Amino acid sequence: METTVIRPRPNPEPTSDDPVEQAMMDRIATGELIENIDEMSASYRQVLENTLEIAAAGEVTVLTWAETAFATAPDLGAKIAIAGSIQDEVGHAHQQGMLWERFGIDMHEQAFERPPNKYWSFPVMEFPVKNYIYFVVSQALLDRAGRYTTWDIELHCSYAPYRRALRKVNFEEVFHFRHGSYWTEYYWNKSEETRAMVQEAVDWVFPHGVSWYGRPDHLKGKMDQLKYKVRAWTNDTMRDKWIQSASLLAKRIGFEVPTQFDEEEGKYVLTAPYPMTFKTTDEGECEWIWEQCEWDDVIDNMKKGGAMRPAVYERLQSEEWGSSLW
Amino acid sequence: MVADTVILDQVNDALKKVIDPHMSVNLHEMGMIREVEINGEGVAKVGIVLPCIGCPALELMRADIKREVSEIAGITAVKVKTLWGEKWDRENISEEGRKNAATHGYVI
Repeated sequence: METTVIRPRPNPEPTSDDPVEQAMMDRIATGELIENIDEMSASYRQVLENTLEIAAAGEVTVLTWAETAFATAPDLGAKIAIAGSIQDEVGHAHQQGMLWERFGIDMHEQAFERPPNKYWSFPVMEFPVKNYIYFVVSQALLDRAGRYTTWDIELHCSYAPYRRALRKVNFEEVFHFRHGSYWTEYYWNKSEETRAMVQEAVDWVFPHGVSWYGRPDHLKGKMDQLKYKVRAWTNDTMRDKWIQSASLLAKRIGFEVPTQFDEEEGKYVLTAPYPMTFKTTDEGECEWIWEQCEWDDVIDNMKKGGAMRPAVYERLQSEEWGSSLW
Repeated sequence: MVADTVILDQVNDALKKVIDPHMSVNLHEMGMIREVEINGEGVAKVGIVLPCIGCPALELMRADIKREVSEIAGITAVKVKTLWGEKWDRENISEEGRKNAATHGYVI
């Protein structure tokens, strides 16, 4: 069986042709943490702003996606779990939005007046949640994926306020994937029917996790986040951490994932085609094409988005209830 | 009687390993443990109150309590009861709990 070993590349050297930017990188390389915006060079500031924008928008797009699981939530506890998850993700977006506002951004405008086609999220968030088992499996696997991204920032980010803001966020993400893992195990053991549904959900969710971190290190163009230590983990570092973690979860609970333990490598490696992408069926469902493709195909498809784009973002904006709520 | 006290202490220590997943604070420090009893057959009964009525972590905490307490020698079964008639208040969080929560961004 053909396998793929994820081999993260070393972080790039923090070098720049611009002496101001080089000085900024040198300060950060010594371990200095940046507290104030007026300490930042122009490029550093831009990299941070871009990171905050993607992070805040990514968190908020979970709302309307998760809401599609309500209809199949089997009981009040399950509905509360979805509502709790939505509330937490709003909080995460709020935390990062408040940080972004420090840079002079109008968050109200960004949230409610930004054209829906300017939103971006992961393709998985642009397809309806098929049922509650898909929801808990997504929590178990994809909240786990998201947590590596935010954990990297909490542990390593050179902008200290961002580190602090993500402490609470990360704690809640751990709760989400523990909640998902608990209920995935519950449904795995409940009946033959629910076990089959868990495996079906895993087969669909797992490839979303593999492509969660985007291009592999050797094809990634901009490395400024790493040079300025806004992040310290490369895409492949996070992807590899996630594959190890998800594979161990699968082993513990018993469901199958397309990985196997490679004795020589001393870790789990992928057995699924890598990379692979999906097609949107006429019924608006995401169907994985289990064949190797090019990364450009993956990225093109991510840019194209899923069946709920842009409706999922339009709905997000139409739910501004305002003072009449109170 | 001495043995009962020892095992009760062990149960309470085990409950300190169970955290409220939203707060990084163990259930004792959260003030959520209201009853701990062990009967003659080694059945431990733990009564908890919840900070919010619709806690999405309830099943997770119940499972964690059962796992931790059932590992104690002499415990034959663990029953977890939610005490809906009792009120939880943020004043119930201990000083230590407040310090722990603050390290995760919750200032209470």
